[in-house]
Amino acid sequence: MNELLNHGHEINEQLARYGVKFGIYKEGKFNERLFPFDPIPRQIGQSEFQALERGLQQRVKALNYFIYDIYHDKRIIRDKAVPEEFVYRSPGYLAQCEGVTPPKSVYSHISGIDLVLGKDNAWYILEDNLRIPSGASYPLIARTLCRRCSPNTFQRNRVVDNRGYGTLLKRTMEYVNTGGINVIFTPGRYNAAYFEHSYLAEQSGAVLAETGDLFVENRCLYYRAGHDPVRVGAVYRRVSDEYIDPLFFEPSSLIGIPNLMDAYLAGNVAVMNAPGNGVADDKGIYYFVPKMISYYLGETPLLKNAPTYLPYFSSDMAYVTANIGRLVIKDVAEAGGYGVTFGENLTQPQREELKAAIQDNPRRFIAQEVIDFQDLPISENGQVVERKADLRAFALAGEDVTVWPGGLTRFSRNPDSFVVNSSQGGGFKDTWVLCQ
Amino acid sequence: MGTMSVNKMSRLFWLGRYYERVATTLSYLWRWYDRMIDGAPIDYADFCSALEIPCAYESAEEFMRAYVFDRDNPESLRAAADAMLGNGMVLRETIGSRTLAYLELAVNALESGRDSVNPTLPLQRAIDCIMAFRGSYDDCIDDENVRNIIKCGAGVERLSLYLRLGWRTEAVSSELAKLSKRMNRTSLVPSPEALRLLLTAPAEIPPDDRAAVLEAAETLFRL
Repeated sequence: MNELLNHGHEINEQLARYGVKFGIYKEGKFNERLFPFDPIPRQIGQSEFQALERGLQQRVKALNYFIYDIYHDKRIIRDKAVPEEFVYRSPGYLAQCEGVTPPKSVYSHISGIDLVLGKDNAWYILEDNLRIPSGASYPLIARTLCRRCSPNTFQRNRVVDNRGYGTLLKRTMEYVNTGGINVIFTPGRYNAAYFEHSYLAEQSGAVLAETGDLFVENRCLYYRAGHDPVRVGAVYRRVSDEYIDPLFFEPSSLIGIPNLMDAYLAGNVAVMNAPGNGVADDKGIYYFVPKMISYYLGETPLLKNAPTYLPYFSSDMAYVTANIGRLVIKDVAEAGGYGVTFGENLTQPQREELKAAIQDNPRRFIAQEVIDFQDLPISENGQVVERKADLRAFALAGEDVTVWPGGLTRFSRNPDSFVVNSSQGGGFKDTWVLCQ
Repeated sequence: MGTMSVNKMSRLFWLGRYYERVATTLSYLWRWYDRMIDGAPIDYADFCSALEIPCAYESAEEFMRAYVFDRDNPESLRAAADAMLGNGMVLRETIGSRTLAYLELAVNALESGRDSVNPTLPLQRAIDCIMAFRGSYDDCIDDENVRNIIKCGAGVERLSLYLRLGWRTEAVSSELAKLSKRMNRTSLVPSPEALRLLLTAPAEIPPDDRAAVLEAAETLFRL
């Protein structure tokens, strides 16, 4: 491990060589930054990973059942296991997807599940990302470069080789492909995650396409390849639901594909992840995921949610308003680490203001206990310091749900912060799943 | 030929043009750095005129700094290098990360030369990286169409620079011959008029005809 630490500078040089960057808009200007990498990996033992794997598989299966149910029979609403307000008032719910079954009934092909490891050594789920979760490409390329910079480290430590993510992604696309090529559809060069789009296209052998490269004719999606358009069977879109098709959703979208939804509704192309998934990764719905697992699978949830309160329920509202100073309040409409407020950081008037906002619109917020999660060692200016870190695990659903043996470990570079998002200055490290 | 959109063809072509612009121009300016050691004048105003770019530089030193390194100057070589990398980045899955890395390294070398007391060594590194890029794409990309579209872009740029900067006739003829062979191995569709003019250009292009040949080279592919 020390060897890897000694090679931190070289690894970061290699990351710069390969342009491992993410984009960020600040004051209306697009800037690209290298994603700060810390060479000390997070290590997960084999048996711990297997437990995590089972829990994530269970969760992703239940979430897929939930999305199917919401757009079809709505049993879970009828049985009052989930209040209908949380479904129909969710911005992620798309009425246009009612009655639609995607190819092979897979909705969340690539799920990014955010977890933290508590000081009680239990993993807690913080968030489910079922729309377009980013991040697999960074640890994927970092693993290759770490091996290059410090081969001895990998000779001495038995780490599961996870460099086959591209193949796994390809297999996931092939499973739902309706006949045609696989495409990764990017909003373009100035998207924050463009590196990821292009790298995953390279690794999976998919064609990277932008809006002008694709068109719909006779309810089929085609790639504009010179004079002979090529049929597309699966499109891994990296564009949000609201922008993917200006004729179905946001009409001002310039980054979508007109009539893509028409081709999708006709069953002529698999759209990954499926439109409408946002209904299941809403922060309000998160509260109900353990219930979904019991409801659809008849199983006890293997992974814990962070203790969460919904001000929507009067008992929870009373608890939240009484304990706001020690809770973390999340605005369900925000993402990327935004809209997260730690009660302890607020002045009394600010707390009162937040309470009023919650009472005014209880559906808009959730509250969680601040989990005392384990810090991870980070190399900083030649010293090893402890920082907050989470793990985004990737579960790919095809015939089965496969959990990628690794993941994106993000850490805060600010010693006083719990926010690990890259857009807010966080860094990343590799995640080792040990062979034993 | 593999699956490729017009958009992608255009990017490959311009990738070729931009990398060649950076490499050929750097090699050209290389001699000027040497001449400046002895205090010999350099014809930067003529250079700008030949390239049809504004000459807002007050001295040879300012020209060599701002034209080569100033990324905010849209006419600069540095801006061309950014465009080279920008085109490469959107082609990662086509040219491969390994090949693309040489463009990153070339731009990083240019960046490191900006504040250097002796910029010639970083510039040499930049040229080395572009040469490595040339070798890498030629060796690593299986699709002949892809390789030849990049080469056609590079060929057009080289022809353009040779004609503008008054390169010797044999060099121009040699580039013309290579370009006419390569374009037949791509899915690029040349302009018939421009192609006819280029193919009928005499081996010794009279000075008065250079502008017409240049125009034909610049408009050969409308991408």
